Amino acid sequence: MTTLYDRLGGEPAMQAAVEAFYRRMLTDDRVSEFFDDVDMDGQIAKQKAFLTMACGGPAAYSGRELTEAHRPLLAKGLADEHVDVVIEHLGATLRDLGVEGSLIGEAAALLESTRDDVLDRRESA
Amino acid sequence: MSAIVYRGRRVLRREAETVLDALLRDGSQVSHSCRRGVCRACLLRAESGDIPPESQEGLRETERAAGWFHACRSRPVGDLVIADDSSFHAAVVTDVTPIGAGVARLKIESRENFEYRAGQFVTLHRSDGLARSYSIASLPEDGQMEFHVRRIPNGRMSQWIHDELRPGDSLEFSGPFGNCFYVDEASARPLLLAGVGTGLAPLLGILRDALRHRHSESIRLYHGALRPESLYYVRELRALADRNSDVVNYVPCALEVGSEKIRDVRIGAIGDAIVGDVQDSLEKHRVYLCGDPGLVTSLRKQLFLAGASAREIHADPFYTSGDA
Repeated sequence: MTTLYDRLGGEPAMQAAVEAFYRRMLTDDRVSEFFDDVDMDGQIAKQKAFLTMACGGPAAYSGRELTEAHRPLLAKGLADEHVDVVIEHLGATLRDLGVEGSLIGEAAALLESTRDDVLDRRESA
Repeated sequence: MSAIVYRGRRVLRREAETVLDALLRDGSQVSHSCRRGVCRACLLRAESGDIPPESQEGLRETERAAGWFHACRSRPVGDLVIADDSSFHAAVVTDVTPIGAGVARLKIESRENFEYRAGQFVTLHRSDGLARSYSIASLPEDGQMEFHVRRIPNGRMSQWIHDELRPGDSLEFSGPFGNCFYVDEASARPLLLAGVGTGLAPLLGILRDALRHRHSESIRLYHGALRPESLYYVRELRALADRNSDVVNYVPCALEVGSEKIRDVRIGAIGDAIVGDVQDSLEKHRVYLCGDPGLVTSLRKQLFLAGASAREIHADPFYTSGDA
C-alpha cells in the first residue's frame, strides 16, 4: 500500500507543506509561544520530520522519543488543547495541498495515536 | 574500507558505520542527536573527498556548496577529509580608513593563498589571543580582504583596529566560516539583500559576487540605520547601482528622520519597506539577512510570514561578545 507521503510526492511535498504548516503555527496565538524564533531552521526541520511521520513517511519515532522531545514544551504548559491545534493546522495544510478528507482523517488518526506519548501520559510498561 | 581525517586523526570507517559512528568509536567528540539527518546537530564540513548525496539531503545549496553534510547519514565509499577550521593564517594590514558612521574599513592581505567566498566571515586574532569575527566585503580576486569594523564602546578589538592598527602590521586569522554567499545556479532567482549597520559588509560582497557571475535577475539591497547619517557607503552604493541599473536597486532606509538630509532615504522599518516593495514576489526571492541578531531574527520571521521560503532565507546574525 502506498503511503500518503508517497502519494503527495515524498520529500519535496513535505518541504512545501512544512513551510505552510509552520506559518500557520507561528501566526496562531494559541501555540506560537512554543516556537523559538532564533532557531527557525531547526524548528522547520523538526516540523518536517513530524509531517513526514504523520503522512506515513520514513520518520518513525518511538513513544519514548516523542515524550523526550516534548518534555521542554510540557514544562511550558503543553496540553491537550495545543495538540488539538496542531491537528487542526495539519488538516488545513493538507487540505490546501488538495488532499481529500478521508486521507486527512488517516493522518489525524496517526497523530492522535501519539497524543499520550507527546503529553507523557503513557503508563510505563 | 574508507578513511576519514578529522582533527589530525585518521579513522578507518567500517563498512556498516556512518561517519558519525566511526568518529565516536574512535573517541572523538562530535555533537549529535537524532541520527536521522533531521536535527542538524552532527553537521560537519568536508574539505575534500567523497560526500554521499544522501548526507546532504535537506541542506541549502550554499551549505552543500560549502561541503556541509550530516555525519549520521554519511557512508562515503572514498576517503573524506573533514575541515579543520581552527588553523591560523598570517596576514598583513594594508589599509585602515574611517568610512563614516563610526565604521572603519580594514584591508588585509593573506601571506598565503586563501580561498573564501564573498559574504563569509573570518576570525581575526591579535597576538595576545583577543579574537573577533568579521564578514568579508571583498571578492577573492580583489587580492586584499576588506572588512567593515564598527567602533563599539569599550570594545577592545574594534578600538584597537580603529586607533592603533596601521598598514604593515601583522595579524592572524582563521576561517572562512558561514553560509551566507552567492550560489551560481541554473534557476537564478531575484536576490534580496538586507541588513543594518556593518551587516552591509557581507551583503556588498554577495552583491559584487552576483554581478561578477552576471546574475540576470533583479538584486535589491536594503541597508538600514537608526538615522540617515549613520548609513555609510551611500555614494559608492548609489554609483554601483547606477552602473548596473538594469539589475541593481539600492534602498537606504532609516528608522528616524535624523539631522542630516540625505536624499532618497526611506524612513521607516526596513522590513516594512521590503514587504511594501516586493510582497507579491517574495516567494521567488533568495534572501540574505546580515547584521544585528535581533533585527535578523525579526526580519527573517517577518519575511517568512509574508511569503518568503524559509529555505531561501540565508541569515548571518552578528553576535557581539560580552565585552566586545
